[in-house]
Amino acid sequence: MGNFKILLKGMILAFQKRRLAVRLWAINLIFSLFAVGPFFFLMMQHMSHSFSGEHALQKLDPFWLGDFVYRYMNIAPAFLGSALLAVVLYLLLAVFLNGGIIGCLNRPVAKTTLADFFHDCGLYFWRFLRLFLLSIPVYLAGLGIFYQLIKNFLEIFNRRAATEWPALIVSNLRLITLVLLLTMVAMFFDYVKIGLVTRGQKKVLKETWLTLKFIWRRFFKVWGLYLLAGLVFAALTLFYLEIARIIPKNRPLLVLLVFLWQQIYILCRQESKLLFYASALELTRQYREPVEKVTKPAPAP
Amino acid sequence: MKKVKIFMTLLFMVLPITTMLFAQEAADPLQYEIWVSLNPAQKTLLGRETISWTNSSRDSIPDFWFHLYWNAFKNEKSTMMEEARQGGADNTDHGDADVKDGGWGWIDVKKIGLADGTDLTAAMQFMTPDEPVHPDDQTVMRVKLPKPLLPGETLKLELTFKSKIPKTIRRSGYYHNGYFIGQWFPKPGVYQEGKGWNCHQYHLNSEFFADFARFLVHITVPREFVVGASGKEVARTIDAEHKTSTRTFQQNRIHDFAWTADPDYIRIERDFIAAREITSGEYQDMARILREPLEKIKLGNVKMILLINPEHRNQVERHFKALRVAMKYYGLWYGAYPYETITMVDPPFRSGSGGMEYPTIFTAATQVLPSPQTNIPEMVIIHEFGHGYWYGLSASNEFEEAWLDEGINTYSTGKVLAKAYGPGSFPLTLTGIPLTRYSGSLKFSDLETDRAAAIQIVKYDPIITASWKFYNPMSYALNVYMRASTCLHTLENLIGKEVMLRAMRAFQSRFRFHHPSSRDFIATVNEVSGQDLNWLFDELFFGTSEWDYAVDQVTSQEITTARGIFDNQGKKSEITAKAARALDKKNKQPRYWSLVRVRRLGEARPGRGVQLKIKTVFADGSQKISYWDGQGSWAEFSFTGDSRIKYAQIDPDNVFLIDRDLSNNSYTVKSNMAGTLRWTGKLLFWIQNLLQFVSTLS
Repeated sequence: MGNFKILLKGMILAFQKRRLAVRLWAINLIFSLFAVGPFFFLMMQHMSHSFSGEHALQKLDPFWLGDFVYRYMNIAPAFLGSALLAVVLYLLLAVFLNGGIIGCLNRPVAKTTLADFFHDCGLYFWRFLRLFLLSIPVYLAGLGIFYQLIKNFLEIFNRRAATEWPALIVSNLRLITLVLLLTMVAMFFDYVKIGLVTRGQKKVLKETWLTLKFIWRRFFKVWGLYLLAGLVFAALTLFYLEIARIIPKNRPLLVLLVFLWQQIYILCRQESKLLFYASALELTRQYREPVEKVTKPAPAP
Repeated sequence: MKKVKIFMTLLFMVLPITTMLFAQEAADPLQYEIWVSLNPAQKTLLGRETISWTNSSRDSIPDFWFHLYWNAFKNEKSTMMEEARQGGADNTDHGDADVKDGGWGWIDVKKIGLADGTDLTAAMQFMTPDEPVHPDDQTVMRVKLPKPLLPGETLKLELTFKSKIPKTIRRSGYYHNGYFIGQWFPKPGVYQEGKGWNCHQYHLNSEFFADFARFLVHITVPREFVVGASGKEVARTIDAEHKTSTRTFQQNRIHDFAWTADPDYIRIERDFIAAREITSGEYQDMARILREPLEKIKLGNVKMILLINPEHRNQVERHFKALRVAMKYYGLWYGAYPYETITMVDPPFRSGSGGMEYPTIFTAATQVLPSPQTNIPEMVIIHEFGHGYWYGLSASNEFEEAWLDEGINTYSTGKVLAKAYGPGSFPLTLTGIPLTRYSGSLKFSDLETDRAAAIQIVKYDPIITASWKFYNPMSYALNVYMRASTCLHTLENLIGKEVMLRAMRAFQSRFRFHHPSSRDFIATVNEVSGQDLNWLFDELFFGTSEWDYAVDQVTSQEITTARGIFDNQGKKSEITAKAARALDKKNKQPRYWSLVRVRRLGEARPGRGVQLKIKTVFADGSQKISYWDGQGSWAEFSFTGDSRIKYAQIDPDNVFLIDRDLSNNSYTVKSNMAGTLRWTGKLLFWIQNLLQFVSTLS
């Protein structure tokens, strides 16, 4: 089966399980609201009874922005610390949710309940947590070592550049390299997670090794599929940006409209996350046998 | 006979010009002739320099002081390098003054002597006049003269020097085949009567100070190089044998000379034709505002020269348009540009020389993919050209009072940009690719961004501080550029736009070709405005006091019938609570007692006679204007009327832009959450995206 066909099947699966995207969006929104809460109250205290509040509706006015920075500069470390904590907590939450996402995508029924979702979250959490811990050194190696090597190689051209274009091209190549390396590592661990769920494998290290072998044999097909799903996400983002830039934002109702449009985009991001998993799941189903099938002895004639 | 007549006619035409030229030359007590040759293989300059300097003071002078600026790049013991290292956390960080191995630059004076042949080379010694002492600095050199130079006497010196061109540092140096050569020759300090030589070391934060002079400079470079320089090219010779060409540039009444050479430059010439750029209506308006005759307002034509990199050739029109705009408004507002040429350089790639001013030549800064919505490179072009007025003509001492150039010019740049282009978009880029399409709605004026930066730095240093004595480079930059500009806007709001323009024009015309100080500026403003504004300069320029006035409390209460015992026609009667309520119910036109309390939260305060305006607006649309001298810690104003207060605002016209918190200048009784919701919503969206991205790594 070609990658386009697998992607299409993935799209269908992701669409069938769209409730998952709504759940993920809601969790993301609630978590983010908690993170943004202190800032909201700070702004309210600062400008709700001031003309700055009205100016803030009109535009990002450097007058009130300057005031705000000056007044709260000293508590910026506390904000940054909280933001870092929020990121770490969300990362753990995402590890927990991944089990639910893949588990539900893997269920043969079209509709899955919230109970099914959280059941799968709990079922796979410890396996996924071990995998997450395992992924940290791989990310560090991938980005820290390989990226540095490629960056240093590109830097030779940058240093030799006599005009601006080569330097510009090199800096863009660096960015593209970083993104591609990131997709490779993220893709690999997505397939391990899918393997752990679809093949009922409990041994994380073993599944990681088997997945490595699986991907090694058909790397470009697997990566190509991942990049195709990435293109869908990029197109979606571009569409969001194009619409967002034409909506004026200086009236309360328009602010609401923009907020709704932003939330639709976040919902679509969740759907595209499902697409990454769903297309990878379809590919896995096509090329990999479940563990049970492999290990079960053939019935006697 | 006819020939004689033609000769006589020509003579009479030429004579006044020649006389004028010589008269002008005589006005420059300093004259240079420099021969310099570039060796691209060794990255060196070989130079010979003759200096003629007349002692126009009443002092007899025992010595002669020079700047040797490039020795700042010689090693890590120079003043500039030590100052840069002190700013770094681990004592090795030089910020933008970092030099890679092999990239050091220096200047050696090989020989110095009098024109009569007396050798003074042995009398050379390095000096470190500034505190704190950096004993190994070699950027200032003193030569003891065989006998003191008496008032009116002229000293003629001859020097030979060799320089190693640094690799792209502090706006000078080379990268590949591109060279920008600034602050490169032995340059005399400024002799100040009764005070001696003003000749500071090369400091990290500082720019320069020099005397007006006549320059005649002969530059020899490989034949294929395109050269741009201060002044006007008056001769060119080619040496076929050595494959070099020598260009001679000449200019009177400038205080520095810079040049650039690169074989890849594209050279384009255009004319600034005043009659095309300025309408008669604009001249008349300006004459009325400035109260000067029309003839004094009119501008002359100027030759504009652009040296641009081939990669940026599609931006030629953008460059020229910005330069024309700058020449028009600086000329109309502050006086005609007095030279024949202006050279605008799109500097060589990685020469690190973008955005810098020199007399009659300046560097712009752009990139291969500029955004059409931002005001870059326009802002840089207007700003650097503008320096030609404030640093170039009213040539203040940038070592000691940098704001007189940078602050006034930042203020002027903002005004030209606002007039010609309007607010620019936030320049959002990703690895050099403009994304302004998506940030285009975020538009800022210079005034707004300057003020936002200015309020952050007030407590660190006064604006008027010697450049190397600021707390750190950030304090120098924000105080000297943004805070000074914001305070000038405050001054303009206080005295009015037209008076401000007259004051600026008067300052520029009185001190053209002189070295004014801050006191000269203040005296000019006081005189032109007819006000004593010393308090403003004391508070905002010489001090570190913050300005902050706030509306602290706004209340309105319905005036109800008072309860209690009241004397009524000799009898005492009680109005009970019930009776009071009944009376209030009957009253169909309630009255309100309202109170506005304002506070001074900063230490700075207005001068005598200056009143802060307080505007109180009521729900029925009526308004009351009150005034407060702002001297005490707080003041209150009460009103009785038919309506409750809707809002109160102190300084409603935003006169005092330097106020550190404009948000507390107003208080609206009804809260308004829309702005808060807009930006909290935006932040929420960013956080959602960040978390979503983070989840990819799980």
